[in-house]
Amino acid sequence: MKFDIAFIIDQLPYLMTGLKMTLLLSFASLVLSLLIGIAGAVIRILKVPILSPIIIGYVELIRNTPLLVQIFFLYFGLPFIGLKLSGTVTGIVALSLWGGAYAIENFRGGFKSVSKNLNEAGYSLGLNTYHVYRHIIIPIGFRVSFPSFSNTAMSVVKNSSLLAGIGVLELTFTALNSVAVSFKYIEMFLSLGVIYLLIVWVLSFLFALIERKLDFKRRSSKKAFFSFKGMANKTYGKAG
Amino acid sequence: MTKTKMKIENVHKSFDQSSVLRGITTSISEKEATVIIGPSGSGKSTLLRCLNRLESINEGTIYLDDQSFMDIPIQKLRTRVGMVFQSFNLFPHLSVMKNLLLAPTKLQTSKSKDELMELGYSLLDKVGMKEKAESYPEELSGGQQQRVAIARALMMEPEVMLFDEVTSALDPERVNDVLETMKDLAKSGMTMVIVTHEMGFAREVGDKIIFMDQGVIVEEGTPEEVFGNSKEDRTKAFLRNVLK
Repeated sequence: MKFDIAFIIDQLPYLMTGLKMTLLLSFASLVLSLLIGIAGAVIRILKVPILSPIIIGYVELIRNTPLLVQIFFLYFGLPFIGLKLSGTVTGIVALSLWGGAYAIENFRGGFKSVSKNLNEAGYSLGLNTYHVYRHIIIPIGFRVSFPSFSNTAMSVVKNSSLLAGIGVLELTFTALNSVAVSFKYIEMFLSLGVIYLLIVWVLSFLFALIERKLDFKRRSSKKAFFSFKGMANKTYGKAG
Repeated sequence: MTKTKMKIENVHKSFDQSSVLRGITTSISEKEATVIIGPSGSGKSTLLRCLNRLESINEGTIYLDDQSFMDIPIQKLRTRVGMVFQSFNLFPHLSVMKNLLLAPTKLQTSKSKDELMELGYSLLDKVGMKEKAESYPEELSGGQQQRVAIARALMMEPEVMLFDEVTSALDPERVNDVLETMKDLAKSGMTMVIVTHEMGFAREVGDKIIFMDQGVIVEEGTPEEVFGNSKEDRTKAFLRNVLK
């Protein structure tokens, strides 16, 4: 049996349609994971009544069960209570809930590491809890949590391949389809692996770049920087 | 007789089982510098933190301009009573100017952004940090950070300023810069309450000295009375130890 490069080249356009879906699922799930993570972490730290125990239960549930089981549960289980979601929507929900649970733990650690002294400085200036979290704890804690959040983010991207299990037309599923008719396992799975490697590698490169830009210990005020404020699309007037 | 700015009546405070303040009664006069001295663990920092409600009190009452603390919304109170800490506590992710602007831009609507910036520059100028407006806290020395922290607290235009051992974490050579800034502030008529271990400074700047030990006020009076002619043995022993 010989290695068929022509087959890979021939199948690339088809794989690219799957890649597009994988990128869409990943992007949507990462944004939602980020939001769930920040909100959940703040709720946990503030010990918000009712919500805080719910968050604890949710995180435990997600972390202690396999993601594939969660995906099956959402896809096949929810229709029983009258909620029929498409594969794509189920995929985004499942990945976001999974990534969000891990992100909560990532951010909780980071937010808690922000010195109590800084909170007190904020409160002493007359700021309320919302201001203190929004402008002090979250921006600083986010930077601390970012490296662990990027790990979670990369896992979310890789785990999107499990959605092949419910027939979402993402990268892994297109590869499986192709194999089913061609039987060219080695060619297809090798290509699949290389594509995932490239996606995650690019992602980790991007995260490393963001991490550098976020690090206030490295930046000098003379250099242009990528600030958290900028990310939040909100700018202070430049002094002077 | 100067006007009383803050009145502290029979204040008790305990953490769990340990009683930290045990019946503090005194007053803070307007436009005066009141300096609280005493050994570690005497409750002086706790008393200071009660004055802007960073700590709640278990018993007693504190008045600001004859209004009970409980009748003043907590955030409003804190803009009227500013505080500077031992560890500076500048926000590390914000430039000096943004440290100054954060709270007033979130809280005040009466001043425009430009007016606040102007106020910021004038306060930085006052503490000798104007050229560092665009720097980040980590680029500054401890003394510089502390002067920025003073300017940041002044941005809220407080009526009273609290200083909690603000020179304790500083390089000895930098202590003076901060003390000079505080002297200027005292001269300008700011009502100040200062917890410090700098006895020379206390004597020079203080209009009133309060000596605390074990959660009570042992002695209070003018610097001459407390430093030059203390009545209590405990005060004498403390001063002998710190002044030798």
